[in-house]
Amino acid sequence: MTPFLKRFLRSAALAALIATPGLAPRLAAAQDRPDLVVAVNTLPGSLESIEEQGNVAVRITYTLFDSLIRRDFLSDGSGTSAALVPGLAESWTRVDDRTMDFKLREGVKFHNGDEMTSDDVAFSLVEGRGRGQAPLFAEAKTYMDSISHVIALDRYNVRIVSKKPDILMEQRIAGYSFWIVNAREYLTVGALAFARKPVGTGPYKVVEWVDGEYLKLEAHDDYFGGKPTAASITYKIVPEVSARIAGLVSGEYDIAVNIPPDQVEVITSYPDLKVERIVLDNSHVLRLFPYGPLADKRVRQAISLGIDRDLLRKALWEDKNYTPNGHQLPSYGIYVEDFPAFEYNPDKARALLAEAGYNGEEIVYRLGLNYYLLSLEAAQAMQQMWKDIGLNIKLEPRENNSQAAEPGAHILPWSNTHRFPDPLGSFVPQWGKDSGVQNNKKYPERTWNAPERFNALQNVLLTSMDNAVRKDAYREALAIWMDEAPGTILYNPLETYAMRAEINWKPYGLYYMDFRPYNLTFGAQ
Amino acid sequence: MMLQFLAIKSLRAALTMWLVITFVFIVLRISGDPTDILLPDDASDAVRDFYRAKWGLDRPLWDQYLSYWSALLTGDFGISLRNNLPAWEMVMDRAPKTLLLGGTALGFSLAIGLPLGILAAWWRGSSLDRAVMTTAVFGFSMPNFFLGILLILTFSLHLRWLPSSGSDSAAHLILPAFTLGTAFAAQLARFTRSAMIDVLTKPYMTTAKSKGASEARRVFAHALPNASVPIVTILGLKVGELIGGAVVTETVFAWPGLGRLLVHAVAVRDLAVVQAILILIAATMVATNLLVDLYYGWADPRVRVGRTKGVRA
Repeated sequence: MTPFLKRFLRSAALAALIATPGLAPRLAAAQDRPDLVVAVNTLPGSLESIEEQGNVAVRITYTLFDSLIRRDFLSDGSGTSAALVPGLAESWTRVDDRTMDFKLREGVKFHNGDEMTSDDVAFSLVEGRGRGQAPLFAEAKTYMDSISHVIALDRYNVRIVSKKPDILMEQRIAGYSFWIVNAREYLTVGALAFARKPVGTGPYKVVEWVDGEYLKLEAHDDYFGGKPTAASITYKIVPEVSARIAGLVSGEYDIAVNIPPDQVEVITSYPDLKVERIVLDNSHVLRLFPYGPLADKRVRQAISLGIDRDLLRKALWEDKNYTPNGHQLPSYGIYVEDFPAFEYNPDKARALLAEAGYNGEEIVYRLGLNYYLLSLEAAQAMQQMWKDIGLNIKLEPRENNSQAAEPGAHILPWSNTHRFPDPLGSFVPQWGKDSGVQNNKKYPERTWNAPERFNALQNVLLTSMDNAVRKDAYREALAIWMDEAPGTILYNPLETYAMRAEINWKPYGLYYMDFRPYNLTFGAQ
Repeated sequence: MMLQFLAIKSLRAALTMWLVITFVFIVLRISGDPTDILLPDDASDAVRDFYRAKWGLDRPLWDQYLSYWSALLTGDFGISLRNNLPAWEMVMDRAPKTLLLGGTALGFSLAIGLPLGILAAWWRGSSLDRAVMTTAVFGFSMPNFFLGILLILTFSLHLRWLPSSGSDSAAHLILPAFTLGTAFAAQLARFTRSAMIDVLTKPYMTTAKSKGASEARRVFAHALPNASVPIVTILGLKVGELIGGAVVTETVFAWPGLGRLLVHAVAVRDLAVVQAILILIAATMVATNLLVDLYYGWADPRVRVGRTKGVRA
């Protein structure tokens, strides 16, 4: 949107406020339980829980399915906590390094009335669906492939065995891809039909999906976690931000997602609206390809040192987000709290460039448009910062990420989602020895030849069952990563939701929108 | 003779369709890899390879092109990469909404633009003429996204008379149809005016007047039929545009039509869906052009005679 339009929208919105003192209390008027309408930018192509794991999909599928263990994002009220609590399993025990036994809750009902049993668990995690040699959906493989096999011990007891000792098995099972589906329905209708109308145990079930328009869910009153607090939830596609905001103000929607930081002021100017913000468990990253002018690691270090991250956050994110210290999150089980923060030091950067003999060679920073929020604005600001230390950065915006990735780029924006609170949830899969960063088949010159020590430390992270040992290894691996600078972190982005003031709902650090009874109530608290 | 005229036109239409399909096929595939766009940005190479193979994108381009054609000739437009639904089905699901919006907008523009254009021409130079033309300049210079947001602010946000987005009821149709129709009504008014003025200065209009024909008769029986050829030409173009041209309006008002489906499908490189829509748009364009050509022949005998007998009109 142009600045003019923005100002225009803001002043017109204010004018509307003055002219209409009492806004229609749509939700309060609804009898019994309200019907919730959520305006979303787009809907996913599939609701098969392991086929699509992008943010537009998980914000819905999280409401349809449950996992054996649940990550309690709200245990400390933050929305990013990593405490584990019982989900479909009421308890679990570690039998050995590779084996876990789960005692399932009895009487849990699927949307179709079936009782959830160990057969459903075994089917959901079966080889060939999300893991193994030729899975139906490959995306889940990264997170599920550590599983060796699953045994249904009896109706309510199930055993999961991993291939190797796995210290993170509980977190894994609480996270991506481990949602439990109804085996009977899945096998009866097939994967494609299931993806359109899945059957899980979650608090809401799919009743209607009109492609390109809306998806309607209805309360699953037999939900094991209590009676859902809304009668229905409808996700409506409203691609335009201004239309999402207008619809919220006029009472057509109750919640609107993906609100840019600069629109917060407009929304909070209405007394009956509010925003909920959360810093995501996701880091905006720059990849620095070690070839050409960036072959010398001192140039890569200088690029990172030349970024004033505090200024970027203030200017673009209203200083509501943060830059983590290293490639990690405070919620990590082995968080290295005293790891040094990313430094802004133009003098040191200039010295490094001089040492490396950098002589103004052109460095190409390519980016796909409309993918990462505010990425172009950040790139333009950084271009100036880099100019100040003598770097010659050429900015090349492209239509999409695929075009941006074409030959010639030295810097590309990227993001890393911390899928579970451990380096194995992001750092290892994204930068480790099996990652695309270390094995770039399409563009071999971009491959980062990591020091042997780095990859040896990764093995410790993967196989050790002692978190003290793992933490030491992580600290050292992070230091190598910072020194080698195959990439750098800008900040963790902020996600903003706008909603009616009487809705009590908190967002999470992952894109899940949790509408379970404990996180969705209406009226003054 | 008419048969030869039709045969040439049809052949040209088929060639156009072939060019469109081929061009779109190639451009879409060289300008972005769907696996880079549809999968999360941190998906591994193994996952990308898996989907590339699943979607047949690992095969040579000519191979993909041949299998696309062999399927197309049996009426199979392929499967959406995004949601596994048949592409043609998705397009047909959206078409009624687009036709409803486009049809209403077209009806609105005809009802407004045509009479205003005629009146402005008849009273050329009057204050009415100037008022109509000034309004028309505003009408077609206002971009759809701007007018759309303005209308939302006024009628949804401020007055709360009309819903801002969606397509659930007749009330939902009003703002997008008005947005879409305004620019064309303005264009049509200007176009009708100039076509009419052109005709009104012709000697036969003076003849009509001198033999005592009434004003109404002069406008509707003498001037309008002669002015209709250029008007119908521009109408023909518009009908074709209606199928895919409401992109901006559909996005602003979250109207679930073809335009929005197209934008989204192009953005994520949902190849089969983009191709199905473009084939539909091209076919509509080609068909309306054919109809317009036929109308010329009917409305203006000189076109038909000139073509068949080789005499200059």
